Amino acid sequence: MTRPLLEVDALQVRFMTELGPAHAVDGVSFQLDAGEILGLVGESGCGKSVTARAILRLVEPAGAIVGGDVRFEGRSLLGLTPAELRAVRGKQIGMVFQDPVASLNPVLTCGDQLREVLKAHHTCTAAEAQERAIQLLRRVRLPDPERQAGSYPHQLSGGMCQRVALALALAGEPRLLIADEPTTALDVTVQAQLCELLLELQAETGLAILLISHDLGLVAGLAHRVAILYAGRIVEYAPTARIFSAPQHPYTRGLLRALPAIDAEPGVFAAIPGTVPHPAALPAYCRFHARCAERIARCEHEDPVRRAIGPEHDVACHVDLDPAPVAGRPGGGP
Amino acid sequence: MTLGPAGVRRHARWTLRTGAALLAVWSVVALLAPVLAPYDPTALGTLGADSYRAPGRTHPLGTDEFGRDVWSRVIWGARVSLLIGAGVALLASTLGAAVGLVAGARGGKVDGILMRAVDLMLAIPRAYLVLLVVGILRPSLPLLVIVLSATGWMQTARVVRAAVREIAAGPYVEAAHALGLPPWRILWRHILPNAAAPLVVSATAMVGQTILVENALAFLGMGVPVPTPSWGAMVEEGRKVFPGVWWVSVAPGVAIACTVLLCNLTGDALRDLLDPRAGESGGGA
Repeated sequence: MTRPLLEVDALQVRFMTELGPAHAVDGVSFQLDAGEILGLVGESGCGKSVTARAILRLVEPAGAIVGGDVRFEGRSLLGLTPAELRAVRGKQIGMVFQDPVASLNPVLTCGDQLREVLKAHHTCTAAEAQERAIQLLRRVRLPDPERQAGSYPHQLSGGMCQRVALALALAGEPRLLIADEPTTALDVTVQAQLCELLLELQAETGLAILLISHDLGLVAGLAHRVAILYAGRIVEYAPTARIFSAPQHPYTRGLLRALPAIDAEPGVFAAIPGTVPHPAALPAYCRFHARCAERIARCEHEDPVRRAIGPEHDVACHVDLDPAPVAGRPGGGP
Repeated sequence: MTLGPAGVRRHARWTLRTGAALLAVWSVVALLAPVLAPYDPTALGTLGADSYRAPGRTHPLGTDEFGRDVWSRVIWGARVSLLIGAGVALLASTLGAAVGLVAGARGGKVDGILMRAVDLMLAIPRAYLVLLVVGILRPSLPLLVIVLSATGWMQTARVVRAAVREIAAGPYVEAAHALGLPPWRILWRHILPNAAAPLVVSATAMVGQTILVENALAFLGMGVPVPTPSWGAMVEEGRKVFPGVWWVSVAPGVAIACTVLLCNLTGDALRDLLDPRAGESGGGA
């Protein structure tokens, strides 16, 4: 087997808060192969955005990576000098953010911003940069790229801004794209267009994508594999089809049940009771214990360890130690 | 009267145009003083005969104790005031912007040291510092510009630092870091232009403030040396014969008030227009 493109290994990120040190990411491990799309899913505050930022070391200096490793093409990113890190950011790994309008500089035109990135990563003349900028805008299917290159972000819609942000992320021709909630701020129809675009780009160029989202529906449509994150840890990790057909972790099942089905009784929502524990006040036992409907005595004494329960399927839960493993149940499927 | 965001902007645009236009006219008048002034501002008349002539046909604003034409002196005085006002605003804003930019962008120890320096400078009354330096050294126009700049950059540094910190924590700066742009490039192309609005506003306001301080110094006899005409010094000269011979003090006094008012109106209008919270100009997402 070839080496994975990205390896995140027992990553730990700590922030100092009023309540004390908070491990927003606490031992997250996953791998991403070239051309693969991995969905990183969880509620707000579960650590998915921090994980994404920690890969490019964007959590510093507010937070610190205190354990584990991030390797890209076998090389650890944690020991890089600032200059080496800049050569990875944008050139090896691109990133798009949740709020497309706010993540573009309001005083520069889209073309200016693209040329900035192109000049940072390639040696090229002004004319070449201009041509390349328009090519990139065309590649992200921005209508009328010649004209839009001269537009300011506030003159474009949210969907168009996200395409420009995507063009910026792709300007350095990275092999990996980190997309942090790329469609959350967009209309449903625009979301669908952007998803198609991501799939096209992945198919055309073999781009690997780390897709961060709280939207299981979106992840189901795009990702090859899914990692479910809860309170800074991966609680379930499996191929997408398996997550939806045979979810094992009670939290994953809860998330799937919480998806409103079109044929469900109106007014009935299957919310998971409670909230994610504060990362500065995590219990020493299972972190989902307080919200889990299937908890057993062991859950209150012992932290579950992530272990393989099938091919490419990991779960961190005590419950299915039960001799009769729980299969996917009604309402659990997509 | 309450105005909606659009009304505020329309009003501000009108004020800005009027204020800036009048300031421009006033600056041209000052610049063309050698051509426009009917008399040599320093030429002494026949003592007694030409002293304290009331405003009239030959002297539109009368003459002073030495028979000098007050209108000519007001025009020439505009040169000194506007030059010092603009010079100090430029120099002090550059200094303040540099300090604020470095403090806001670097943070940590550098920020701490620079901001304590600002606190220290603000703790010393500006008038004492200026009077001390100007009192020890011989007052001259360049010295006044330097001293007033050296004691006037702190507010700008604070304003710019606050803007830079806010911008540096914002999403598009994080995105720029994620794209691998070099830090100085981010500072210069992404942070500074977005901090330009508060910088321009504070610089405009500084012109008016500086003119007030400069004329106060001149009133105290610490301004540009005689015989260069200066409004503050003219007000002081007329004080002895006020209100009988009112024009000697009132003419330069009105000039000071009008010039400062124009600067402040322009500054306020700029702030209303450049502050994003004052409303959108339509269009956009």
